[in-house]
Amino acid sequence: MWSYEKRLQYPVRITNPNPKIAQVILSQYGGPDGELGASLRYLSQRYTMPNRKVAGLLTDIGTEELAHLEMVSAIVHQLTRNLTPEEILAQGFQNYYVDHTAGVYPASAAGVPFTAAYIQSKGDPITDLSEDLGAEQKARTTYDNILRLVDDPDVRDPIAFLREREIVHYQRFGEGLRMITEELDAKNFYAFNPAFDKQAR
Amino acid sequence: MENNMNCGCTQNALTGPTAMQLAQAGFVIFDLLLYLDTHPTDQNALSYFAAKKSQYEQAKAAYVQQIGPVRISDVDPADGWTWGETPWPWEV
Amino acid sequence: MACAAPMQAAPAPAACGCETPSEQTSREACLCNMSLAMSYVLMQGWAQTYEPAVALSRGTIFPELDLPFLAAGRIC
Repeated sequence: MWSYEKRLQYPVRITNPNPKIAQVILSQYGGPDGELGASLRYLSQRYTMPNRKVAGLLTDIGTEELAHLEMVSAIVHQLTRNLTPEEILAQGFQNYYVDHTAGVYPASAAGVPFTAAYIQSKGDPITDLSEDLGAEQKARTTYDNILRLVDDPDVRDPIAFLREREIVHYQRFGEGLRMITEELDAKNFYAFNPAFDKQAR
Repeated sequence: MENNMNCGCTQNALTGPTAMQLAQAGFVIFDLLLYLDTHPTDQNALSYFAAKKSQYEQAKAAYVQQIGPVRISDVDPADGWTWGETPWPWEV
Repeated sequence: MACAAPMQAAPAPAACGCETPSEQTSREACLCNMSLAMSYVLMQGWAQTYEPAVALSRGTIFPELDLPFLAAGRIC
């Protein structure tokens, strides 16, 4: 189960609201490669991961992604404080605002609501870890794209932190894949699905 | 929204030295945790974890004493329900 | 694919003798223990760690995993 620590993994303290950038950063909350998808993906995959240590890795990274979800939403919330209608229109925030006011809602920057279609839990350890490696790179690229658009150091600092975490997760999932393949026959890793079949026939 | 500041601290405390020490110590053991998940028998990592775990516990104790609870289990009912008193982590 | 030279000692199933990038091991010695149609990430080995304050600001305790984005003007 989960317990909660009343602190952010990395502090977020943004002085200057900026709803235009908030809308971009929202993609890392409810977008295709965001933290909500990441946490659900890893926490869903762990049940059918036959290697217990890799199941532990999925649990721990999935938990960290929930902490990142909290950071991203804190950033979005702090960027959308004290807005006037004039600022909302001037910054192009009106489409999100009309449906959510300044509420934090899981959607992409383009306004597409979060969907489980962004993730896969395929029940095959090689497939699931390959999906996870791809997911971490997609998240990193999204943070790269955000960093190109943002000048405010109060925003860049936590975003750069989150980006670095994706690189570390990629390394760990890669190691997890090595651990999985070590338990399989190197002559044919795909002879059977160790999460479902008892053995190759 | 009611903002009860009985703890005597302000949102600045969330980025002050006590909070930063907890954030740093907590982060070190977390990054180490992921390394140990894939290197469970690495003795260097295990002894580093032991050292950093006690640093985390000290930093957390200082935070709880000076600022407020980190986990529900840190709440001392004799002080009242302090869980909701300190700023929430997303508040500026 | 024939191996150019046999490994010195019998390696663990996925170990290839070039786990840490600094080791000078022949390409073939590494690839001999790998299979087609599989991706491989090197296993990280324990080396230096950052001090906690640096670690938090960089986003990892491991300097060798500290790979910042440099294409956005400000170094971050």
